[in-house]
Amino acid sequence: MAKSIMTVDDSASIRQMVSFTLENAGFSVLEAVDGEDALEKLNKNAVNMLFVDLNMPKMDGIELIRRVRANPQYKFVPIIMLTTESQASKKQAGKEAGATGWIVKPFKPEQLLNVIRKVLRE
Amino acid sequence: MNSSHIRINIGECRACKNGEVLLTVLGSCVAACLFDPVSGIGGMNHILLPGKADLNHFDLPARYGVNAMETLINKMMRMGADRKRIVAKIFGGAHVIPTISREFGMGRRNAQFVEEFLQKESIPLVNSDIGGTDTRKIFFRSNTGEVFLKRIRPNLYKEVAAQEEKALKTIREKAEKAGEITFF
Repeated sequence: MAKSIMTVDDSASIRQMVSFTLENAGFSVLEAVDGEDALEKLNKNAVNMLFVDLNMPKMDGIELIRRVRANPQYKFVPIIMLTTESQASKKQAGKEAGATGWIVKPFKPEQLLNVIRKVLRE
Repeated sequence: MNSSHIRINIGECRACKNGEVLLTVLGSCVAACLFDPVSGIGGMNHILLPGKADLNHFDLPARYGVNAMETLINKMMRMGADRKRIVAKIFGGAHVIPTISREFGMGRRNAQFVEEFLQKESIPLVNSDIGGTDTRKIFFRSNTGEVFLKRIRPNLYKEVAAQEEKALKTIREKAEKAGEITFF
C-alpha cells in the first residue's frame, strides 16, 4: 500500500504544491489547514510522515509537533518543518518540539522527495 | 520625497504595523498590497516572475511566485495579522516592451499569477489597477490600506523597463535556488 504523508499548511497553494509533488511520486496525501485540523485528522487516519508549516492560525507548527509527539503512536514518525523561516532560534524551537528536520521554502520537488527517501528509508 | 516612505524594490517585500507608507514604482511588475483592517497590519511586495507561472503544475515560476506571496503573508501573520481578514489591492502589470505582444508580455503574466493566487487563497481583491502601458508609482499606507497612485507615461520613464529587464536575469538565477535543509 502507498505510504501516507500529511501536509499541514494554512496556504492552499502550498498544500496543493506538496500534494501534487507527492502524489506524482506515488504517495497518498492527507491535507490539513492548521494544527487543530491536523490533530483531528490524525485521530482518524494513520500517516507515515508529516510536513508541517510554522506560522498557522489556531495552532502553529511547533505546538502541533509537541502534541503529535505526545501520542505514543507518533513518537517516531518523521516530521519535517516546511517554512519560510530560517532563523536559528526558530529551528531550535522546532528541534526541541521534536521535529526530524527543517526545510526552508522555496523547495524544489526533487528536494522534497529526497528528504522523504532519506527519512522513510525508501 | 518624504524620508518616512519605505521603498520596495523588485523581489523585496515588507510588512508594517505602525502605519508606515510603502512606496514602489512598477512597470510590468506587480505589487500586492495586503492589509488586515482589524490589526492595522499591512504589507507590500514587488513581484517579477521568472517566466509564465502554471499554478496547476507548480512549475518554477509558480513556485517562485507562491513563495513571494507567502513570505509577505507570513511576515504579516508574525506581527499579528489574521490570514482570514487579509484583503488585497494589486497594481502594475503594464505592457512596457512594445516589441512583444501583450498576450505574452511580462506584465500580463505577472498580473495573472497574482490574481490566480489570491483566488486560490480566498483573499478578497478589493481594488486593482493593472495592465495598460503606463508606469505606476504607488504609495500604500500600511495601517489604513489607502493607496495613492501616480501614472507616468512610458516615454517619460524608460528606465523602469530597462531595470525590469535587468532584474529578470537575477530573478531567474534566484528562482533556481532552493531553501536549505537541516536534519536534527
